[in-house]
Amino acid sequence: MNNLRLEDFDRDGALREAAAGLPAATRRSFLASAGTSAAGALLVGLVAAGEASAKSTDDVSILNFALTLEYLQAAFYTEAERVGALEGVAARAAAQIGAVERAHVAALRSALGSKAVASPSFDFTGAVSDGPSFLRTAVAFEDLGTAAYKGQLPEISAPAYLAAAAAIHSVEARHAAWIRYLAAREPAANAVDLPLNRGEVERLVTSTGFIVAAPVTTSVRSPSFRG
Amino acid sequence: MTEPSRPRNLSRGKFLTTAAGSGAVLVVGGIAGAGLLLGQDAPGGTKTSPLALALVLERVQAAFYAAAIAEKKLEGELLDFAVTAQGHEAEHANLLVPLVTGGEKNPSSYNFGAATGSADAFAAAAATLEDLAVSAYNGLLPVLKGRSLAVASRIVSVDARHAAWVRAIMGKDPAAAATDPGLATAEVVKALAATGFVKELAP
Repeated sequence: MNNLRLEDFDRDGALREAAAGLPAATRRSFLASAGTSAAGALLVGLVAAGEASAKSTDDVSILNFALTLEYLQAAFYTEAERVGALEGVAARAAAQIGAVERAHVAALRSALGSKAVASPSFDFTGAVSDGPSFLRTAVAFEDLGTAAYKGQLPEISAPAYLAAAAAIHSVEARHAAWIRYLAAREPAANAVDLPLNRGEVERLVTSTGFIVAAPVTTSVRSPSFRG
Repeated sequence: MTEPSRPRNLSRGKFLTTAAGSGAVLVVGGIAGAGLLLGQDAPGGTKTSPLALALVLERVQAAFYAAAIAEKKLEGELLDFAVTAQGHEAEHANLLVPLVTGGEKNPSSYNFGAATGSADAFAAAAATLEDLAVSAYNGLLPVLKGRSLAVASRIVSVDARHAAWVRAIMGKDPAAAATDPGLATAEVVKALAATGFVKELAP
C-alpha cells in the first residue's frame, strides 16, 4: 500500500543535500514554515549568503540587475504615495507593495555590500498622477519583475541566492495579479509565465523613459548575458 | 489526447464511499514515519524527481477546482477564477508529467469535504493550496536544473497569481509578505496531509 510519504519525493536525498549546502541562516529559513514571520528570515539569509562571500561575479551582476529593477519599482510606488493621487484600494496597494519593494532593495543592497550599484534617477511624471495611469504602469512593472527574476533563476550559481530570488519572484507575481485585479485585467492570463532575459528587460525599461540618469556603473549594462 | 491530469473519483459520493471503506489510513502516521526514513537509502534504488511532489500538488488543485465547479456553489468572479485555475493546474500537471522520472504518484482519491460547499470555504482552501504549491516550488527550485527548473519557474508564478487573485476577490490581503520562503519537502507533505484532501497515493 502506498501512502503519502517523504521518500516518495526525495529518495535520492537531493533536497537534503541542497539544504545542507546552504549557509546556516539561509538553511533555517529555507526549511522554515511558510509565513510572514519567515519572510524576514529569508531576507536575512540573503544577507548572510552575501557576507559568506563565496559568490561568483556573475551572481553579483545578477543581484545588481535585480537591485536596479527593485530600485525602479520602489521609487515608483514611493513617488505614487508622495504625489497622493490614489484613493481607496489602489492607494492601499501602492503603500503596501511599495514597502515590500523597498524591503527587497534593502535586502539586495545588504547582500551586495560595497558591490551594490547605486540607484539611477527616475522621473515618473504622468505615471503616478491618476489611478488608471498608476495601475497601467504598475501592471507593467510587476509583470516585468516576475519575468525578469524568472529569466535570472537558471543563471544564479549559489543555491542561497537562488532560494532568495525565487522567494522574491513569486511575490512579484502576487503583486502582478493583485494590481491586475484592481485594473480589471486578467490576474493570471496564461497557464505559464514566460521569462525575459536581461537584455530584453533592459531594453523594455529603457524604452519607458522612466530612468533619467544612469548610476555610475557598467556592470548592469554588460551585453554578455545568456538568455 | 490523453488527460493524465484529470482527477479520478471526482464524484463526491464516491469520495465518501472510498473514505468510509478504507479509512483515512496512515496519512499522518505515514508522514511521521517518513521523517525517520529521511536518512535511509530508498528501497529499490530508484530515483524520483523532486517534481513528483509538485505534480501531486497540481493534481490535487485541478481536482479541487473541478470538484468545486461540479458542486455549483460558485458564481461570478469566484467561478471565473475556479474555471481559469482548473485549466491552468491541469496544464501544469501535463507539463510536469514528462519531467517526473522514477514513477509518479497519483492521489488515489480525494475528499474535499466542506471545502467545496461554500464560497468562503472554497476561497480559503484555494488560497491554502496555492500558497502550499508556491512554497513547495520555491523549496524545490534551488535543487532543479535545466528544463525542470525552467518549467517549475514558469508554473510557480502562476500559482502565486492564483493565490493573490482569489484573495483579492474575497477582499483579503493578496500579498501579505515580502518573500515566499521555500518549504522543505517533508513540510509540504505534512501540510498537504493536514488538509485532509488526499487520502493516499497510488503508484
